Amino acid sequence: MRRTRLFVALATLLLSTSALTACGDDGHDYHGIQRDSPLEVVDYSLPEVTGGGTGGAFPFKAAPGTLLAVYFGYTTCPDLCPTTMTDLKQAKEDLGADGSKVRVAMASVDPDRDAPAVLSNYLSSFFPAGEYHALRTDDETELATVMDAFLASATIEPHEPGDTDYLVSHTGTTYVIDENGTVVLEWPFGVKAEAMADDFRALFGELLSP
Amino acid sequence: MTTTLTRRSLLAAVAFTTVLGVGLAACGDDDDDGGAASGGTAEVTVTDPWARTSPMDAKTGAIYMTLEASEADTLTGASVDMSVAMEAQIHETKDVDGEMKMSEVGKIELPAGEAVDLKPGGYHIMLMGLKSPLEEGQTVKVTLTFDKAGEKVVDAAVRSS
Repeated sequence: MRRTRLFVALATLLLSTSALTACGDDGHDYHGIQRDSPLEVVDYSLPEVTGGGTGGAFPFKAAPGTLLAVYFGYTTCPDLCPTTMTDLKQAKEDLGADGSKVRVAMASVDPDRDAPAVLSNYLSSFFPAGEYHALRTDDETELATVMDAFLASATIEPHEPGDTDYLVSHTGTTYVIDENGTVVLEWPFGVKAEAMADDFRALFGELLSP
Repeated sequence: MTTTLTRRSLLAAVAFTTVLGVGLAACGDDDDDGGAASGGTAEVTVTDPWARTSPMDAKTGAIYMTLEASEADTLTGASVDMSVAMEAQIHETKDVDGEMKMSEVGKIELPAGEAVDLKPGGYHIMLMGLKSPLEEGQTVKVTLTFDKAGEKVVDAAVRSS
């Protein structure tokens, strides 16, 4: 099962590398990856817990006139998650007035420690109210199904019940989704804020009417 | 559970001893400019040590820097004052089968004359059990222990990136 997923990941990485070479033709050289056959995630959703409540299903598509950046992470993550959230925050600020057209959704891969309010507070320390979505489910299968659709995965380090000091491995990618629920761009971990802002500007030009 | 607790208390003890050690050293050798404990010529240059601002409620943090050793050396430990965090560990984030996996490595090899980066998505000093959020403008004192160059205390500036 895991080997299959790894194989799919490798295959898609190879495919996307060729896609990357191809995207020079249309003007903007994206810093992220654009697949020849983009991932479609509109049929998937997770419960939204923004503000700490147990809200309804949040479908993976951007609100009209916006782009949605999706990340699978956890709040006790010291290195990757705050790096990416800081880059997204900085990119939104770099975009000036257009920054509010970028919304960020973070889905917790560690619901045991990320209570709804904890996750929501975490995001509120990076993004203005109304511009972030905290997503969380206690249903492992539901989360795995959604992550599969993004070709993402996470593994929680084995730990004793009650032990709260454990690490979680997870895909470090940020996915940019349009209002049809198409993943139009994928940034592997390490893409800097300026590059994100650059790509957002190009995507606004391509996808959003002025 | 027992293992974790034991390791944690051991580390806490080491951190505490480290703090004591620094205090003691400071009393004894006024003339020494904090150089190598071994008395040799080994020196490690630490450039741009910084700690990321931590989101509210976050219990973990990370410290980054660039290290360059004059002769081959090893970073074997890092500690911060217990008033900052319960524990500091040397970690590395690596891409393993498409997942970014973080693990405690305990040490970092420093080849002679080669800059080694502790940076987001790679080596870092992980702070666990933060006592309060790390805020822009603060500094965090970090005691680094090197195999040959001995101990070095640096001030990591807290900033967002």
